[in-house]
Amino acid sequence: MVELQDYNSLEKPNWCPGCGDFAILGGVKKALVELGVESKDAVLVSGVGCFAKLPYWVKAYGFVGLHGRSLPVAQGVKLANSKLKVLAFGGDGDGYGEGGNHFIHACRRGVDVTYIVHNNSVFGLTTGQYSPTAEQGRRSKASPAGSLEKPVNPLALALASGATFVARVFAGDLVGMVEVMKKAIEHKGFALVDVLQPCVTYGFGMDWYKERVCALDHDSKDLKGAMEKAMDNSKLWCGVFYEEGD
Amino acid sequence: MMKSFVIRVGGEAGKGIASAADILAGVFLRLGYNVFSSKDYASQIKGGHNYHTLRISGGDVGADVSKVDVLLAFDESSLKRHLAVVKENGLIITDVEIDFGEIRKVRVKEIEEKLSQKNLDNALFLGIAVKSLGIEFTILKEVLENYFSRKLELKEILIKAAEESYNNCEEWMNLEKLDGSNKEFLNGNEALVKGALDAGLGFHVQYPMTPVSGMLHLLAKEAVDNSELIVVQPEDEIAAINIALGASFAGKRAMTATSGGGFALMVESLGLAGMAEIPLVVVEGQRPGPATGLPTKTEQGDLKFVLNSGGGDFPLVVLAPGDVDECYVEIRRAFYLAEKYFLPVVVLVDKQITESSKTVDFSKESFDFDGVVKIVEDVDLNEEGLFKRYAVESRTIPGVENGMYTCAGDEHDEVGCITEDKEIRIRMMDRRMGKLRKVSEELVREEIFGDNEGLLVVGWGSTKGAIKEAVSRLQGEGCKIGFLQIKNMAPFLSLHIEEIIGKFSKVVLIENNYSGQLGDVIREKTGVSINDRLLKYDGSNFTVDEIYDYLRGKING
Repeated sequence: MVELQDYNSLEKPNWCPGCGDFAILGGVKKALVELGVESKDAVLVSGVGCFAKLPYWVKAYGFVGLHGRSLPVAQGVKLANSKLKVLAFGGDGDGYGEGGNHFIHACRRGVDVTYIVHNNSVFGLTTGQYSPTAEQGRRSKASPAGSLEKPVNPLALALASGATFVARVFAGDLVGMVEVMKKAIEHKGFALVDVLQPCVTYGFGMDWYKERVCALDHDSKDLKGAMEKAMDNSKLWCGVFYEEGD
Repeated sequence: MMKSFVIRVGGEAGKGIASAADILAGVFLRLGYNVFSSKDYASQIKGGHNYHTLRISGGDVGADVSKVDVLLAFDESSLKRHLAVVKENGLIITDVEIDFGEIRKVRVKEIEEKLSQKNLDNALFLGIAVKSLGIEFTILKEVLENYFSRKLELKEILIKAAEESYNNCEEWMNLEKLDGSNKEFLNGNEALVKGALDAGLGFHVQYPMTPVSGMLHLLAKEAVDNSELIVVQPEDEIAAINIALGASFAGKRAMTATSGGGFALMVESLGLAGMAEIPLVVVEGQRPGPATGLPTKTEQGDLKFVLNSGGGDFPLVVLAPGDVDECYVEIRRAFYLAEKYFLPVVVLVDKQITESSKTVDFSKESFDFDGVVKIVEDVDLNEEGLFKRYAVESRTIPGVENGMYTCAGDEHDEVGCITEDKEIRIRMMDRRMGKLRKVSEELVREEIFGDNEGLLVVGWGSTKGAIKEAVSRLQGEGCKIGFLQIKNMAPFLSLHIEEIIGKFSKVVLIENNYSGQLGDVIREKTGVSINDRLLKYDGSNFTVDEIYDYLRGKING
C-alpha cells in the first residue's frame, strides 16, 4: 500500500509563502499515491526555475537538469525503461520559451510522459520579467513600456502538434487538479497538464485567477471542439480539453 | 611487388560512383590486398562532382598519396580535374574523347542500346577496370552478386553489362593475387558503431549531421532486429544529448554523435553530465567550420573548442583516435571510462576518419565492465532513506528499491539535494575533478613511432596514416625521425609529453587546421612551443607526399 508518507521528504521547500508551487507539489504526490505508484518507480524530471526545485522535495527518483530541457530527459528515461512513471515539469518560461522546440516534438513523438507546466506567466526566479504566456502589454523590468508580444497558446499548440492528452487545471482547485493529473498519468502517451498558478511576488494572485477560471464542459474526445475551446480566451477554461480515445 | 597502387573513380553525384568504388574495393579485398578508400564529395545530392580514391597494397595502407595509377572518369569534368594527377605511365578509363598514353574507352551508349537498359555506367566502367588490371571476371561477379544481393533484377542486368564490357577490352597489367585472406574493411563510422555495440551500447540518439550521419543509419538499421538497442532521431542536438542523459540515468549505456555545429548546441548539457555525474559518450566528427563551413570536407578545427566546452570546471575526457582501427578501441575505452567514473567522454574524430575506409586489424585491448556499477548497501543511505549517490563510487537506476536520489544539475549534497553550503561545494568539486587524475592513471601512454632522436613530428587524429608513411619513407632514406601521435587530449599527459619532446633536437607540428590547435594545447600544458608548423585548412586532408616534402625540407634545411 502506497502512502503519502512514502513521498514526503524531510527537506522543506523554499518557495515564497503562498506560492502555487506548494499546491502543485501536494497535488502531484496525492495523484501518485492515489494511483498506487511506488516512489521507487516514479521519476520526476525538471529544468530550471522556481518550480524546478520540486523533485528535490519529493522522496522519489529525481532529475533536475537544465533550463527548458526536462522533456528530452524525461523521454530518454521513459524510452530506457517503460516500467517507470515519468513526470516532466516545466515552467512557462522554461517549457514554452527555452524548451519550446522540445514541447512541439514531444507532443508529436508521443512518448508516455506526463508534462506538468507551472504556468504563472512570469519569470519568477530571475525576478519578474514577462514570460511567453504573459498577455500583450504586460509591464515588467524587461518590458517597462509593456510587452509587444502576443502570448503563446500552449493548449492549441499541443493539440496542433499531435498531443493525445491536453488539459489545463488551476492550482487553487486541488481536487480538480489531482483528478486531471491522475488521468494524465494514466494516459498512454504524451500528456500535457498546463497548471495556472499564482506568483504571489511578481504575478497575479489567487483572487485574480479565481475570478477568471471556469470549468470546461465539453466532449473531451472531440479534437475540433477542443481546439475551439483552446482558442476561446473569454474565460480561463479548466479541465480536460482533449483525450484521444475510441 | 609494387609498393602500392592507386585508382581514382570520379563523376557526377548520383551516377553510381560510390558503388563503383565500393565494388572495386571488394574485388581488391578478395585478391588479398589491404585497401584504403577515401572520398571527396560536394554538399549536393545530384550533380556535384564526387570522387573516391582507392589505394591498395600488400602492406599497411592508411593514407592518400598525390598521384594515381588508374583514373576512372565517368564524365568530362572528372577528366579535367584529375588528369594532372594521373601518372605518366598510368591508365585512363573513360567514355570521353581524350588524347593520353593509355586509354580504355567505355562504350556506354553503345552497350546500353544493345542491352536496352539505362544507367549502366558503373557496371560498364567496372568491367573494363577489372579486365584492364588482369583480374578474373568471376571475382567481379561474386562481388556484384554480394553487393546487390537484395536487388535481384538489377543484379542480373549489371552483371551482364559488366561482362559485356569486360569481354571487349584488353589487359593493361596483371594484378597478382596475394595470399592474404579477405580482410575486414570498414570506415570510421562503422568502426565506432561496432565498438560501441561491443561496449554494450543500449541507446543512441542523434540528429543527422555530416560526417557522422553514417552512425545514425547503421544503428537505426541495427535496432530493427536488436531489442536491446533503442535509436532515436530527435528534434535537435540539445534534445539529443538530453535524451541520452535521461536514458543513461535510467540505466542504458548511451551515446550521441554530431559535428562541430551540433556539438556547440550540446555543450551546456555536457556540463550537466559532468555535474550530475552521468556516464555519456559523445562522438564529435569534425568538419571545417566555423558555422556551416565546408559541410562535406575535412578539418581538425574543433580541438580547442571541445577541450574547453561548457561553463565551469567539470571532468571531461577527450580521446582522439587516429584511424579506423583506433576508433574501435577508443570508443570502447570511452564507454568504459564513462561508466566507471560517471562522466562525459568525447571521442574526437573527423570526416577523413569517419568516411574513409580501410582494411582493419583491431587491437585486442579489452575493457572489463564488470563491477563498474556496484550494489547499494544500507550504509549508503541517509537518515531519511535516500541513497548517498554523490558520496560513493556507485550509482542506482530508477526502479531500484532503496536507491532513490536526485540527479542534480544544481550544486548538491550527497543525496543530490540542492545546496549552497560552501564546504559541500568544495567537497563536490574535489570529488568531480579528482576523477581526472584517476582517469589519467588508466590511459595508455603515447608512444613514439620511428626513432627516439633527431626530428620529431607531432600530430593527432587523421593525419596519423600520412605522417607515419612519410616518416617511414624518410627513415628508409637514412633520416633520424620519430612521430608522436597524441591521442589523450583530456586529461592531457603533460609530463609524459614534455619528456618525449625533450628527447628530440628539432620538433615540427602537423595539423589539418588554421591555427595549430594542438600546438597551443601543448604550450598551455607543458610550456613547450613548437614553432615549425605545417598547417592545412583548405578542406582536404594531407597526402603522404605533402608531408614527406615538408619534412624532407626541414631535414635538408
